[in-house]
Amino acid sequence: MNSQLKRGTLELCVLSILARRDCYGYELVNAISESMHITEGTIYPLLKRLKDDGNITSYLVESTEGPPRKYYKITNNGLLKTKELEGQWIQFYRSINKILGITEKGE
Amino acid sequence: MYYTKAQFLEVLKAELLKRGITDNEILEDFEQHFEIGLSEGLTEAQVCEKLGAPAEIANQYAPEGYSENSAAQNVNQAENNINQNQAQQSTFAENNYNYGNAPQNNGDNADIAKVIGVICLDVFVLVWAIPTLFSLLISYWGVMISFFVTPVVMIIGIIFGSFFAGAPMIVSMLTPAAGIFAALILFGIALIMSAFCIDIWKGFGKLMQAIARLHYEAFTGKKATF
Repeated sequence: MNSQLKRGTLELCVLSILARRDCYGYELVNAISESMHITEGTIYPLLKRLKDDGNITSYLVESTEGPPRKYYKITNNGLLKTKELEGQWIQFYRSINKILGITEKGE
Repeated sequence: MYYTKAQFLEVLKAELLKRGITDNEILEDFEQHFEIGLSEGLTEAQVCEKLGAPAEIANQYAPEGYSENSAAQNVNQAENNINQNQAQQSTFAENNYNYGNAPQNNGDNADIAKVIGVICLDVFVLVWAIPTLFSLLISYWGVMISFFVTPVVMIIGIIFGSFFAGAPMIVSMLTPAAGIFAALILFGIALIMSAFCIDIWKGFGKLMQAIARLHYEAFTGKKATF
């Protein structure tokens, strides 16, 4: 998949996963890697930016193996942001599908 | 290519420093990533490979405008701007993390305006317009059905006039020929009306759907899927 395309949607993917459950960075990478190939290092700058913007917060949880893990939790702001991006994504893929001539069911 | 955790973290630290970033937390995040990766049985080299180039990672932490090959990035930005204008995908287009800044969020105000607008529309227009349209629709169907039924009753009345107690009012005022003529006129009008009845019904359905969609989109901010 084109890296520019991926970059734009990674934020939505991360927010969407965090909207379902709290995760630590490595867990997030794994969850996304299941569906698409990403350069794993890009997730941390993204998480930092989301945190700086107040869309997510972090907290430490003691781990039985190794150092405490940093978990990320979505904020109310982040939930709103997720909805916003989700709406844009749906609009975006519809526009592209329309251009490509891919029609959806029920239209 | 970096083969050990120590090497990777050292280079990342240096690359961040080049960009004026001295945040220890970043390195801690990566250190933790290594710990977990190693505990899952990966080698340090494998974790390094999956993480990607430290310089690239450092670029993404850098504040807006910084880059090592800014020419290429300017091209990207120009492309993004075009996307933005063309597809109204402003947030996605700006999500080139090298530029760091959060996308402008003026969506909230627009949403509130939309919600207020929709509520005003409901209170001032739709609250009377929908019942009015609906009753017009029902009366259209009612008139059409009665225009089908009346000629039948009239013809029956003319033929079996003497047996019918209900029909003779109209029938007795008209001669049989005039009665048949009137019945045909009514039947003709009913036929014309029936040509449009389905379309009118569907049109009303579509109008309701459009109104429902408008409400859904205004209140949730999502694109309606129905």
